[in-house]
Amino acid sequence: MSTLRFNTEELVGRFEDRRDVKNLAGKYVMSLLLKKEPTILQDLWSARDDISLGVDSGYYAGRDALAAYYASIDAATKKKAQVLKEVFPEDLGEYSDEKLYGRGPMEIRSLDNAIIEIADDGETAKAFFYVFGLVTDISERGPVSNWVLGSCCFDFIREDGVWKIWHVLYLEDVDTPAGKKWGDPNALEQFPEMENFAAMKGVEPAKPNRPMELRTLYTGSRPFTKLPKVPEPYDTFANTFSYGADSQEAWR
Amino acid sequence: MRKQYYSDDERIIRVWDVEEVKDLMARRQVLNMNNERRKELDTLWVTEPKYRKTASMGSNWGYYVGMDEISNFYVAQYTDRLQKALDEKCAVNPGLRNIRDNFGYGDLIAHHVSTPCVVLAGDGKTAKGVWYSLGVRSLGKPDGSCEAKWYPERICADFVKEDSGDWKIWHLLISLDVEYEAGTNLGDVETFTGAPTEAQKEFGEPTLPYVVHNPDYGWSDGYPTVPPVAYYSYDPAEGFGPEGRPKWHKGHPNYRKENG
Repeated sequence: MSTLRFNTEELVGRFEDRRDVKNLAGKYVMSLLLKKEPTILQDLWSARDDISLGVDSGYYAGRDALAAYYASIDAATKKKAQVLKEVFPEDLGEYSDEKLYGRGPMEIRSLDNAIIEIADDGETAKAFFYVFGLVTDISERGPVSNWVLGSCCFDFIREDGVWKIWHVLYLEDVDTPAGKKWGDPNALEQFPEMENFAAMKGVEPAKPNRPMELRTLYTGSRPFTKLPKVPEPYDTFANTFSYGADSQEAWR
Repeated sequence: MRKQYYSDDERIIRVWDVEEVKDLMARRQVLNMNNERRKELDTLWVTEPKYRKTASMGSNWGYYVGMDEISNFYVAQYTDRLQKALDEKCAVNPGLRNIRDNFGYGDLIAHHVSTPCVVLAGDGKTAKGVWYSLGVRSLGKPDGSCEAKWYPERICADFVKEDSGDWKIWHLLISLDVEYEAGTNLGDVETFTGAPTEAQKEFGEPTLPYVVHNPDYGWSDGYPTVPPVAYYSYDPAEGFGPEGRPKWHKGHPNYRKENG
């Protein structure tokens, strides 16, 4: 961003905007860690209908699709807690459902390498982050911790003076159990299914309502794959690319 | 070190200068991860002749000095390596076309940065920054498997605001702390093999060979200094270019005769 086109007052405001959208991105990944899926849509996302979340296997496009996605995560979170309660009755048997909620998964994603642009008109913003994460989940294989490498890109929009998430594009390159070789497609198979976690079989988040291959996980035979497009300075959203479901420019 | 007083106008420009330097480094890392090295040098590095001549790219084993030397090492030699690797992959995999678009086939590069610490000179003309990168690099092998490694490193740089008003990278120093295979216990990694690491071999023959950072002794050399200290105007002896290299004294484990 060139500082020459803005006066002092505007530069202060734009710095505050930059800080606010960065904080919002941080709240987003912290909400995933803290299992806030039941409220994340209302708390952090725009009220618009054209919101979307893109992942390797496609887009959750539209408010209803995102609501269904987060509801499926919520249901899975409850199931995981119940399974853990059954596996560890002495430790967790007395816990209420409310107190149990969120036990099991631990999704740590740090947002690094920030590239943020605020539109000249101040109505929207864009951000790219590299994601370095440790994601532990509970499945029929019991608890497994994965290294996660990828990127998380955002379009933000200002609504009633408050920044909200409009589009998220979260693409992973690596999602491999810790201690195993990245790029080994059979790494997860090295963790056998466990009888006392059998109830987790088939418990998965809802599939994207617009399935398409946005990205494939890394292997030693994957063509070299660039990161998604990073934000460039722009005047208004109509004159830049979108991380939303209706545009594939960001990752093609 | 700063002037005692800055006007409001000066202060907000200084705030944005630091933001722009952080942005510049983040963009540099993306271009590096995308194998867009020529674009990185052309768009993010210094353009004015006086800076191009003294630009440097350093690592544990020395410095490439001047944009021509940097370009030869960082772009031309790297492209040769990509071509050689693709030749080997194509020899085993006839279905893989030997074209430039397939450079880096099977590779993953992730030198993302975090933990920025940026200091702007009191005169606002230069800045210094240090980041940490929990780097990862995985190279595809001809048989379709890969060799994945951790490359945790400090990434340090001097930046200069050119006459255009744009911040540019002037001196870059990538200070690798350790290189080891993913999925292994770092405690099990043999430290003193006596053989150069892959990273050292790839760094080739720099313009100025020198032991800049030797992590064999548990990071005891303390260089590059973190964080950069406040300063008023740029002093090469305190920068991340070759003139700012650590002056190892006789008796220090990093001291070599060639250190001069």
